[in-house]
Amino acid sequence: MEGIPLAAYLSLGAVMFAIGALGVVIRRNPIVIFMCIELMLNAANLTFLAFARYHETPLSRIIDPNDTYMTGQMAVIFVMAVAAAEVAIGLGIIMAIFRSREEIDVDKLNLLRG
Amino acid sequence: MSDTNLTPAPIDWMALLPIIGVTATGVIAMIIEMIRPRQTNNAIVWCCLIGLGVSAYFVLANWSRPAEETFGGLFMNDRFGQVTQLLLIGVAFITVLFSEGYLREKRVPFGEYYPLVLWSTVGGMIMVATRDLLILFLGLEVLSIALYVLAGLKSGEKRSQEAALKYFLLGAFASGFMLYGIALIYGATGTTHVTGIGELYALRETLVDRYPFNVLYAGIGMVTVGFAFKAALVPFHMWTPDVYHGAPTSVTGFMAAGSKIAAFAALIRFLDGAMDLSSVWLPVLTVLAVLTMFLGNLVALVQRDAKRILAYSSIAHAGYLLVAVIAYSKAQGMFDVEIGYGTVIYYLLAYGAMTLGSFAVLSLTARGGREGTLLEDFHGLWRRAPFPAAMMLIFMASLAGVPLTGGFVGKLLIFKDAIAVDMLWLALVLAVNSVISVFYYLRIVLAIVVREPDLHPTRFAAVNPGLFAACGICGFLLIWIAVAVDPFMKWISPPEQHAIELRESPPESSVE
Amino acid sequence: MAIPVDSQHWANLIWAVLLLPLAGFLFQAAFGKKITDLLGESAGRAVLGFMAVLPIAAGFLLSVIIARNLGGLEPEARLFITTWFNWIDLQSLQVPFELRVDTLSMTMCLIVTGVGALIHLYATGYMAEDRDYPRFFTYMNLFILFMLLLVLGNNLPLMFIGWEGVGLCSYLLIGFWYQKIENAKAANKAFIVNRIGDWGFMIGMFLLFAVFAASQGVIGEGELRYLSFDVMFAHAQEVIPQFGPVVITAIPLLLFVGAMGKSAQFPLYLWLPDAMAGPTPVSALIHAATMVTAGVYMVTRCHIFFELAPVAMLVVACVGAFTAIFAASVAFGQTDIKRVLAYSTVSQLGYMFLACGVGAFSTGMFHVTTHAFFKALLFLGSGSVIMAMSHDQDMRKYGKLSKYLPVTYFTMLVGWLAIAGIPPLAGFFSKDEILSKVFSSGSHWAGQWGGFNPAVLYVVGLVTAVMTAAYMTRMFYLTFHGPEERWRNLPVPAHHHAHAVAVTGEAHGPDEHGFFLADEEVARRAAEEEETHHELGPGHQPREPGFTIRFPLLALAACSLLGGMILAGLNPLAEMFGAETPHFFEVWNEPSAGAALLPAETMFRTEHSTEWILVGVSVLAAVIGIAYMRFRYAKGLPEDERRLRGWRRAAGMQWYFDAAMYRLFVEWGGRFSNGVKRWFDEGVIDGLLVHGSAWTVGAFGKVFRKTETGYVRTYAMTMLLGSVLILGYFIWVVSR
Repeated sequence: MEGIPLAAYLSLGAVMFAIGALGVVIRRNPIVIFMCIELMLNAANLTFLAFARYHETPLSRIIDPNDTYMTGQMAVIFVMAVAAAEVAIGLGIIMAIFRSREEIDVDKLNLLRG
Repeated sequence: MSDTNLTPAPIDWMALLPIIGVTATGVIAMIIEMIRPRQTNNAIVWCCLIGLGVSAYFVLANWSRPAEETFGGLFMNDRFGQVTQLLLIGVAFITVLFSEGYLREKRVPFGEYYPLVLWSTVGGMIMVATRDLLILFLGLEVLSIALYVLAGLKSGEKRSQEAALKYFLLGAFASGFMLYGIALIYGATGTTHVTGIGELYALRETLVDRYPFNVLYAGIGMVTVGFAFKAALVPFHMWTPDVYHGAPTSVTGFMAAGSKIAAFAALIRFLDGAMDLSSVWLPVLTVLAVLTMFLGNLVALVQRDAKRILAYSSIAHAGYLLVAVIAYSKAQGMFDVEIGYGTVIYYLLAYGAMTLGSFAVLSLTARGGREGTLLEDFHGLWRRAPFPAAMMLIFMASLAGVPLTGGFVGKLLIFKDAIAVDMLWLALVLAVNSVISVFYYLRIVLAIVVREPDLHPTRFAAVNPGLFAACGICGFLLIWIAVAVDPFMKWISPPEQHAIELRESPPESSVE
Repeated sequence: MAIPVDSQHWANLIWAVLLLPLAGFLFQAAFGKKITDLLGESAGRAVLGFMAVLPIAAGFLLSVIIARNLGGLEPEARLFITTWFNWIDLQSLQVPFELRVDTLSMTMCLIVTGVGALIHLYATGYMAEDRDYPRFFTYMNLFILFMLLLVLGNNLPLMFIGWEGVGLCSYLLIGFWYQKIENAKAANKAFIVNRIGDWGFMIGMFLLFAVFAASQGVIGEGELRYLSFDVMFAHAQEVIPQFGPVVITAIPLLLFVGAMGKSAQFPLYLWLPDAMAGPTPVSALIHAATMVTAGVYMVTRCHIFFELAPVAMLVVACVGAFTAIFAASVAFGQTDIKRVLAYSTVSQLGYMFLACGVGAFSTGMFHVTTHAFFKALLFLGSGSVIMAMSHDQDMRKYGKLSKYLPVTYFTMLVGWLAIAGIPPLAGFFSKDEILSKVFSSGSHWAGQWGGFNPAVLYVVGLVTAVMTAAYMTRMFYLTFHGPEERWRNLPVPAHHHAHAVAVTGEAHGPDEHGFFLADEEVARRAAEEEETHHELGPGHQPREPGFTIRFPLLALAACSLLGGMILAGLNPLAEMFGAETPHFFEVWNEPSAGAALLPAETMFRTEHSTEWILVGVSVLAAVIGIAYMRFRYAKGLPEDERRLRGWRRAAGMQWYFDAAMYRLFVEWGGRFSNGVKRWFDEGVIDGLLVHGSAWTVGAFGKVFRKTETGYVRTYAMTMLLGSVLILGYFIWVVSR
């Protein structure tokens, strides 16, 4: 792991984030859109972890380095929990729509506009 | 910041009590519904009202404590947080008060409704009481996830479903940005506490070569996007009209008032941390404010649906609020100007009261599972329900900024602040916008007061005591804060000896 | 400086004057319907009418007491400020709820309550048959309340509440007979045009706010109350010039834009003639005697800001003079008796601004006062005629009415001679004084106004005086004189449905902006209207209305007859004979309306012989106008009146100004952007300013609205673009 520089992880995170963001705009199935959002969240997770593992904060005089490590790892747990909650809610909403419309194309959901 | 990572921080139960109170009330409300399924919801309403009252009391019990951070920096116990928590509790209180009749008429299941409103409030209360970005994100998600469900609560209705899905997808999308932004700020500073931003900036001279400027700035930009979404700033506002329109009206009222209060309070906390960088983000926010005010007001002019008009009006008001926030932030960097957060709180209170009140009145058109929200559907409301209609006049007057109402004084305060920080042009933009807004508020007034019902009049729901009380409270508040500006401002401002230290930093970090 | 008033002081009576109409308003609003239900229609109306007149009349008596006490003091001491509570109280700004008792505010207060009480009394008779009797008096009392707040308020925010409040009442009262679609349109037009004026006023106010907020240090004592008039006026001279010539000129000009809207000056006069659609007492009270003079009052109240900026004075004078002559010319082309009076009001308001523009503020107020007398009289008289003639307002159908309506005839005779400027009636004194001051101040202004020759203003004023006398004579003779009773020649009215169809068939107005009624409602109302509507026909027998209508006419006639002489203290006449008798009204108003910076002592001074000549010239002007028109109209309806042609037709159409604006902004603009904006013809009101602003704003709204497509992916895309822009900006800042 030491051989791989921090920049590699950050780049991977950034690319994942960009793919996710583009996917949200491009895809029409809400489940896929939601997967893309998950991708964005995971990009953030990866970034958190990479920073936690590698990073030496310029503020180390002020902030305990142990705190820094812990914050990043704790963040990932938080985000995973939040993402799980979002999945539950999101699938519920999508299911409700599917039951009443038999199709789930977001481009056909535009009763509300103007 | 904690001493070591081994000793857990002491738990400050006192500061946490309001949040626990509201959460527990939600749990009790859910249990009551479990015990007596599908029966009258009076018991739940009373339980919620009492629980919220007790929680408000808990907030006041903390009132005289000195401002300090507890939970190892995760929780900020100060007057600003207390006041905004009170506002959020008040919003939930009034929402609970007026929704009973609406839910019954609209046939919305109420078993989930009340606990979700309360837990959403909890999310907001967490957001406003922390200066740690991660906790802020957590609060934001608690607030939002409950709102996603609330928006789609009328599950058989296509509009409600659509609103929920749009809100959910876009909200999660914005969360992604915010979270990534937090990750970047964390990467740059090594902490998720907002003070880290300022501290890092203060070190820029000593760290010239390895100063992670770009990461930090990108992080701030992304977090700004997250806030802008929640606060419905242009161009991140597009979900607002659709979601406000589609969601059940009482939920819309709660969403419009509650989530905006939480978002702006949290935004102030965030910007306090990033104060030293204000020359960087102030222009961005200024542009957003101008866009938001104009777009909100102009599009509201051409709407035909009362809920959409109010949705666009709430976008415009987000713009006004942003002007107040900008003036507040800018004044922190000026030596001769002193502006507290009072204006923002004042306007948030006025905005919350008038928005909730007007949505409460709008909820009167629901009857027998249907609801008409076009302007025509309100014709003749004056005859059927004179008191709510009269209160609606106050709300509209206040939204439009007619003197002797809270909305006017609020705008005047913002105007004054903007001038004080040498942003006269922004103040004029605000003035012009508030004149434009008169037109569409007048349309609502005309629909309600002047015009007679058509041949097939809409049937209005009976005014229940809860709605009566909710309108009365909001109307009274708006007049009262307009008359008693000074006592109110004194009440919400921090006590002198414990004034929030805006750029509070640990003593060892004091930088030359 | 203001004298602080303790709670026992007589100046506190002013609160009672303000609260009485409030009580009246609340009473009418709360019990109006109940009382008619309880006591029956006729007895209930009698009680309600009494209760509507009472607070205003009582307010008038109290005002007289206050004014008498005020008059008993030394001129410098004639100013009291009484505060109720601190309305807005912040660390750096205090806006008390305070009233100002000085000679200017009391002058307006006496006019508003005095003329207001008479008109209320008149309205109890005029509106007796109306089905919305309580609603009418609710609005009327509310109007008086706001008007008093406007004139008595001692700071800009209070004045602004009054300013907006009277606008609201005017809007409600113009549209009072909302069954008729044109009334609703007129109300809308008034509302929208007035908004344009209010923009100016508000921005001017904010500018003042900013200027004084920035110079709090200079003000010293009372620095927190910097929005109060006494503090503002005391420090205007030192504060405002610091901000450079642009601000100095911008403040009065913006305030004047507000005054133009409210006081119907060109080009914002468009709403006033249409506002005549409201009931006649409303036209008399709001659109002639009081509200429309609020602009003049505001300019006079804030005269120090104007005096600081000669350019603004020039603009005020020119706009006033042009409006005077323009509206006078339009009056020749009108056949509706109320519209003649409406344009005459616009024209007279022009005179008042002309006086203000040359620095004779107190003279402007003098004309406000006398105009309130004779124009209220003329409107009430015309209302009496209209009532007698089955609500037909076309003068060409009148004739020889002196035979049937003697009281109306003689009182309107007084009003006619007064407005024409025949001595010694009220109008003569004020108009002659305006003309003479315009003339005499010419030498002062010639230096200040660059190349502009002030003599032009005098000539315009004089020509307008001839025209005023002429068109009023036309109106008077068409109505009351002539050999035949022309309505006898009308066809017998078939009990027809054309009327109802005409009302319904009309496009139902700018529903786009949600102001109007639904079609069905209009149809229902029209049908109802038709049942009660009487048509003027040959068998019609005009009858003089009852006492409640005759008494206000007689009272106002007495004021028009004697008011000028009393207020002027007969000064112009006396002075000609060398006596230095003080001009009562001017002395009275000196402390509050006298020029603060201008050399009033010297700039208006003229030789006695010149004075003589000026008086002679203005009397001659009136006589020429009257004589010529009498010669033309005494013989009955001239042939060319049946269908107006030539210049008078053009004048009657406001020299095509209204139509040009309409065409320019609605038709051509519509053609230009055809296709894209089909909505253009959906919401058409008439007039440029109405359209111009509503159109532009609406167009933006429509365009932006299109961005709200309803597609989640569009929204996400917009958010993504927004974040890319924000991120790009941040990155740019870093790399810089």
